[in-house]
Amino acid sequence: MIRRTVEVYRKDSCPESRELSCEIKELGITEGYRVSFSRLYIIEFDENTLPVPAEKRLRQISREILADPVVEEYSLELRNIRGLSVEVYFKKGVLDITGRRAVEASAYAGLDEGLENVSSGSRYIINAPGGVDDKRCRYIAQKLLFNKVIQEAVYTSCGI
Amino acid sequence: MRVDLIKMSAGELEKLSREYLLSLTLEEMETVREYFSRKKRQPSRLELECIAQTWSEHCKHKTMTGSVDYTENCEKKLYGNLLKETVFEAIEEMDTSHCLSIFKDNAGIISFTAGWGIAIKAETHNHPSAIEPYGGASTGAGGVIRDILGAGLGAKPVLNLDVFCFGLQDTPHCEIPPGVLHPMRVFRGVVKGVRDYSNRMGIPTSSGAIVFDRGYTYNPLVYCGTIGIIPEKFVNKKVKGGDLILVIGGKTGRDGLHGATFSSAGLDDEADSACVQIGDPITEKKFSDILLKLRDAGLYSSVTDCGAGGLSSAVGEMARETGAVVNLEKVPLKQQGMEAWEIFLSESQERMVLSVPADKLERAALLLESEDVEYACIGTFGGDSLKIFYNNAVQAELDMDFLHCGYPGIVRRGVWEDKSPDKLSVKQADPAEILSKIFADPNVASKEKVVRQYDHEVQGSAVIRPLEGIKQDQPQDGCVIRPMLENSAGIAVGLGINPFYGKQDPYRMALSVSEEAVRNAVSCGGDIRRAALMDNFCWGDTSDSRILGELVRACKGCGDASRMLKIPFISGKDSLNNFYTAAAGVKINIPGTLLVSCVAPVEDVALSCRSAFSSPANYIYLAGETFCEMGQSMLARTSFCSGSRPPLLREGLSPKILEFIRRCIRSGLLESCHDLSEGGLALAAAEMCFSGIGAEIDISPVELKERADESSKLLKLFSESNSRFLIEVKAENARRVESLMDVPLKLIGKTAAGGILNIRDGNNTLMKEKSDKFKEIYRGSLKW
Repeated sequence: MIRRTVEVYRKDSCPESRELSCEIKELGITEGYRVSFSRLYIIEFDENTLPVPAEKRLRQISREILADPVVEEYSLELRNIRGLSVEVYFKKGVLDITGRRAVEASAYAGLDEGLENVSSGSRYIINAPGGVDDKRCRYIAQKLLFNKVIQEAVYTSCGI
Repeated sequence: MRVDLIKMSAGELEKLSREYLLSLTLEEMETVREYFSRKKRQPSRLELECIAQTWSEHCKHKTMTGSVDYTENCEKKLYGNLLKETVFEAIEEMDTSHCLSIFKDNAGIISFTAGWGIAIKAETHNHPSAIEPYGGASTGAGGVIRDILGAGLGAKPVLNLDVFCFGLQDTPHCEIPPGVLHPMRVFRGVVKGVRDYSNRMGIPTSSGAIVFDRGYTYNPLVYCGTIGIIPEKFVNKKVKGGDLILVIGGKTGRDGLHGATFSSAGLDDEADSACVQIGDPITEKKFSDILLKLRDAGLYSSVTDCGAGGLSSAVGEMARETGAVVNLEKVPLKQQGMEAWEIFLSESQERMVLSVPADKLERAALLLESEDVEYACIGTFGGDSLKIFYNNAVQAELDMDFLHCGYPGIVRRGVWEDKSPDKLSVKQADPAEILSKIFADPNVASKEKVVRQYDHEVQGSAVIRPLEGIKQDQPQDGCVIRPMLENSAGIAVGLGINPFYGKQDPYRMALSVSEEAVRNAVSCGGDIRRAALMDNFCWGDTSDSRILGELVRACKGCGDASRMLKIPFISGKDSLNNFYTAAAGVKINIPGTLLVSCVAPVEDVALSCRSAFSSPANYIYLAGETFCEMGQSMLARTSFCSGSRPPLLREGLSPKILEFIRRCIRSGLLESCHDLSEGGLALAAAEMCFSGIGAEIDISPVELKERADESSKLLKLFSESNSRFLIEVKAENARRVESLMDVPLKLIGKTAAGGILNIRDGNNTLMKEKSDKFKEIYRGSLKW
C-alpha cells in the first residue's frame, strides 16, 4: 500500500485564512496571530494494481481532480511554512463526503485503477510576528479549527 | 443477542435504559418487560432499540399528544390529548375545504392552482447543531427536503426556509463551559451548513429569521423548512401487503446512531460522534430528481424518508397497518461488522423507503440505475408483525399494535400562574435615538450577511425576495415564488417568531406570532381565505411543571389564534427537552419558542406587493388600532419603558384588517404594504424609506387606546399591537381604499422625495432624519 498526502492551497490570499484571522481577534488574541489554510488529501494506492508510477498518478489526480488550476496550486508533500501546523481529520466512522467524491471523480476521469481510498482533511498553520505560543495555538485550534466530537487534530511545529 | 430483561428489578431496568441510551422511563421499561413476559421470551437488543425509537419523544410526541393535569391561576383542567384539545379543536370549527392533508403525513398540504397542491413542513435539528453546527444544520436541511419528497407520493421541493436562535454574539469566551461551542461558532457553522446543502440541492432559500438571546447559548435552535408542490392526484398513498420494501439513496453506516433518543433528552458536556450525521447533498439531489419520475410512472404505492430512527422509524411507520418482513443482510452498508440494531436504527442520511409492487420493481430499478442511484430490496410488507432477519436468524418480532399503541400514557403536571405586570412606565427620550438603538439590536438588524449566502434565484421562481429594490437592500415582510413558470399563480410565505413575548406570556406570544406569520404572507399578496399555518414548538424540560404549563398556554394560544384568524394549522413538529445540564446538575432551559409559518396561494404574482415606498406624493395610511401593549416590546427591550403586557389578538378586528389588506392588494390599490411588528410604526416607516423615498408622517390622527399623556407619542410610535399595517396608496385610489371596508384606517401622511423620514405629532416635530442613517445602522450591526 502506498500512502501519500497532497496539500492544495490558494495561489493568492485565501478567504478562509482572512476569516480565521478576524475570528482569532474575537477570541481576544491581539498579538497578530494569523492562520493560513489549505486542504489535505491522503491518497492510498495498491501498488500491485497501479498501472503507472504512483508519483505520476498522484500528479494526475491532483491536477485533474483536487486542485482548481485557476486559483490553486498543489504540493505532493506538506509545505514547510514557519508556525504551528494543525492537521485536522475526521474521526474514524464519520462520513468523509469530500474523500468519497474524490474517489468517484477519479473514476469518472479514468484515474481509479489502483486507487484504494482518498480521505480529506484541513491544514492550518498558525503564526505570529513574534513567534507562536504553543498553548495559545492549541486554544485557537480548539475554539476555531476543529470540533473534537467528529474530528481530531495533529499538531506539529514546522519551518524551524 | 438477547437481553435478560424479564427478571430485572426496577433499578436494573433504569440502568439498562441509561446504558443503551434508550431514554425510556421506568414505567415505559416496565411495560416493555410486561410485553416480553407475556411473550415468554427475552427481547433482543434490536427489539429494545426499535421500541425505544418508536416511543421516543422525537417520534411519538408523547408530551404534545399526552395527558396534562393543568392548573392555570388555581383553575384546573385535565387535557387528555394536549394538541387535540387545543390546536386540532380549532380546526374542527372551520372550513378546511382547501386543505388536502392535515397532520397525517410527512407534511401538511393545501390546494394551490388547478390540480396542484402546496406541501409545507419544518423540522428542527437542535441537538445535532449544538454539538456540530455545520453537519447538524446541513442534515437538518437535507432531512426536511426529504420530508417534502415523502409527502403524499412525493412533492417537488420549491422553497426552503430557515429560522435560527442563537446565544448573544458578544458572549465572553470565558463564560462558555467545556463542551459547549461559542454562539458565533454555532452561528457561522449553522448558516454555512444550511447554505451548502440548500444551494447544492438547487432549492431557493428565501424565507427566514434569526433570533439572538442569552437563553440559546447552550441550546441553539435550528428550524429548517421546505415547501413543495404536488399534483393533487398524488396526495394520498397506501402501502399494500405484498409490496416490496425498497431503500434508495445512501448506504447505511454507524453515523447518527440514537439520534431520535438523543434528540429526546437534554444536552450535557459530553457528546458522541455517532450522534452526528454528515450531509451529502449530491446523493440526495440524484434521488430527488429520479423519485418524481418514479412517482409519475406510478411505480410505487407509498414513500417516506429515513429520518430520526432510520429504517426502524420509516419501515415501522409504513408497516403500521400491514406489518413487514425485513432482511437486514440486504441493506447496503458503509462498513462491515455492524450489528442488527445498528443497521436498523442508523440515521445515515440521504435514504428513502418506497413500497413497490413486485411487478414494477424492474422498471423502477432501470430508472434508478439511469441516475446512478443505489437501491436495495430489503423485504416485503405484510405478515401483521414487524419481523426482522439477520444472519439467517429472526432478530426481532414485534406486534405492530404493541409497537405503535402499547406506549403507557402518562399524566404530566403543568402549572401557569399569571403575574400582573407593573404599571407601564415610559422614559422620555428622543424618538430618533430610540429608533437607532432598535435598529442596532441584533434581533432587528439586517441579516443581509446571511441572506446573501443563500441562492434565491435557482429554479427561476423568485418574485419577492428577502431583500428587494434597485440595490436589493430593502427588507420584505414575506416572500413570494412562482413555482410553475407556465402559470401566474404564486406561493406567499410568512413567518412569526418572538420568544421575548413568551418570557412574559406564552399565550400572547402564540397569538402574536400566529398573526405575524399571516400578516407577513398577506402583505405580499397571499390569499388568507386559502392559507394554512404550521407550528414548531421548541421547549425546555417539560418534566418541570412550570415549563409544561408554559407549553400548554402556548398551545391554547395557537388554538385561539387559529380560531380567530379562521386559518387552520395543517402541520407541526415539536422539539422538547432543550436544556443543558451544567455543573452540579443545574438545568438551563431555553426560552419557550414557537415558530409559526403561514403559507398562502397568490392568485396572480403580478399583483403581489412589496414593503418599501415606491414613489413620492402617495398617501400613507395606518390600518388597524394601536393599544398600550408594550410588554417585551423593542421599546422595553432597549430599556425605554417597563411594565405592560405583550399584545393581544382581537377577534372582531384581526380577520377584518387582514381581509381588507387582501382586497386592497387583489384590486391593485396598494403601492406598498408593511406590517407593524417589532419596533412598531416608527420602525416600519423607517424600513419603508430604505427605498430612498422619504415620508412626512403626522401621528396625531392615530388614536391610542387606553391612554393619553405625555408618553402617548412614544407609545404610538413604538407600540407593537397586532393587526396593523402601513400602506402606500396613490392619490387617485385613496377614495376606493377608504370605502373598501369598514376598518380602522387613518391617513397619517404622504411619501416624499429626498429620503427624509419626518415624523411629527401635530405641529411638534418628533423626528427628522435621513433614512440612510437608520439604514447604515440596520445594515452594519450584525457581526459575521
